[in-house]
Amino acid sequence: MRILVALSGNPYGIYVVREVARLARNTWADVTLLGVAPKQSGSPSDAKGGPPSDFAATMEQFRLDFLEVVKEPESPYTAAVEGISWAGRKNGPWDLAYQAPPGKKQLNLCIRTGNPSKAIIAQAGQMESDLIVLGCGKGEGCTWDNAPDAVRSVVNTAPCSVFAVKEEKQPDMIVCCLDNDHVSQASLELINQLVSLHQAELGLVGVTGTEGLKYEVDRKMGQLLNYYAERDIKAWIQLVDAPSLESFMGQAAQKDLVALWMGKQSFLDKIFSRQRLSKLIDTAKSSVLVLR
Amino acid sequence: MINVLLPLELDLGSSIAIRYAEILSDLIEMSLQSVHVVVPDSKGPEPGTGWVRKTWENALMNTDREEIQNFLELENAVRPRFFAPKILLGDRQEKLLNELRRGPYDLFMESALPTFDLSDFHSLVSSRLYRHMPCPAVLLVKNLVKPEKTALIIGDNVKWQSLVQSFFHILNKPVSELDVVYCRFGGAGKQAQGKEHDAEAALSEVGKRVTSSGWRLGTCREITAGPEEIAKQLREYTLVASAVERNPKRRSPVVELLGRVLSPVLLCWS
Repeated sequence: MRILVALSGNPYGIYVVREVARLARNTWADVTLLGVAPKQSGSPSDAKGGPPSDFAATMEQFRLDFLEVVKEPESPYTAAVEGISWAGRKNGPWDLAYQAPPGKKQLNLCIRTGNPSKAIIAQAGQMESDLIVLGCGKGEGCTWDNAPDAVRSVVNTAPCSVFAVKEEKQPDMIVCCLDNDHVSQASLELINQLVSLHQAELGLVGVTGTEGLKYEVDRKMGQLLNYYAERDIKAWIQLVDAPSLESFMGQAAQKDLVALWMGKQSFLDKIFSRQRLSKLIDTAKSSVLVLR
Repeated sequence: MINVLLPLELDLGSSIAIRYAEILSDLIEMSLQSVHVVVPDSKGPEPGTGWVRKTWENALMNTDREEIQNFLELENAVRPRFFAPKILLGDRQEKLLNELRRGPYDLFMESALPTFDLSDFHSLVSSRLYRHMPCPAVLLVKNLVKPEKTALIIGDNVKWQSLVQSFFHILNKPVSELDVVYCRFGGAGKQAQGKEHDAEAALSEVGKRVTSSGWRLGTCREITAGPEEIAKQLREYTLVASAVERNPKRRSPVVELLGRVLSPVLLCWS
């Protein structure tokens, strides 16, 4: 799995980094920490150019925070990157990339400037990310300081799954919403990990139409129930009719981590228009995971 | 030994109910009869009368019998004696009522996956089938969770005597630790009914009945809150039992509470 962690340099990024580190420790994912610096932020670190020194220092600290969480004898991540410096043109982009030793996973750092959502989407495309993780502060609203629409824009346009992490909120339950039978193994694993990381219960929500649960969703939910039962994960099933889904999700997102499977076959894409998805992320007090 | 009737459909709910019935049968002494009702209305226009109709009905029943059999094989039902369902044809509620009357059955068990719309649960509990069924209790299998921790819900308007009687008749062996919860439905600006000494006396009396029936008594406590808040506090329980009147009022707080609970619910008629 390849995880792209998008950071604005705001202190709440520490929660995002720790959450991803816990996830990465279990999934052995290749991780890239992407900092999107505002233009004109600080001054170049030296005469040859390079990322703004204060921003680069923040990002390097995030990397150390990540390593602190995964620090254990069998850690798949290498701490030492001595002798490696930021590479890039005078005005960016800049990378602190290195080749992980055999058997170890990648933990890369990079810094971009400009429009955050475009930079994040471009980076995700370039590294073929499976998951983009972004952070937002406590409570309602999910905005970045210099780009209020960055998180919403990424959630709506990313080609892969997106996890909008709210500042340190422990969910009671991971509520997964399903309306079609196209569920990838990677997304199942991701849900497993989140359940065990948060020691939360799992809720499987089937979206019903006028004739109840679609046959394929009914069968898929049965398979998911078996899948999680085999892993000793207690899964609670609940049905929600499509018109009530927004209201249900709004309530769930106050205390539970909400995950929406929004694949190509999904009519959640229609129910949850971009505007509604943005509203859900804005008003959620817990994290929201959009699975694609 | 209690006799249980379990209707089966070809869906997730029945899949869960089958597995729950198997879990329960390891814990208590029970005999189970499964049944599948073929509803002709859902199978297209009905033909006339006489042998034409009879042939058509037989064809419908044979088709459904085969489908149910395939479904049970897919579910790996490990107790074939439970799952040789009777196949009936006609109105579902009418046929199930007839079967329950033919019994005798001690318990009607069926799947009822929780829905966000609470009126679904109220409609089920006040349906003609539930109002007229002769057996004293219904087990609504809302989710597949082993009964590891059970709560007996009593309260201001809950007749605990009939609850206790039916509960220990149905669950004829201790299946888990048993807590007793006295719910005083108030909170959110509403005045709770009843008096505190009523709660204490009821909790004490039910607690005695729990231990004398051989169950391990956990905690006896009182909660004052609205149904939504109480349902949250009951999340730790994997089986919740209470007494409900036949044809309960739409605003019955205990029905709302049981509708909100995600775990299986044992309804004992008061």
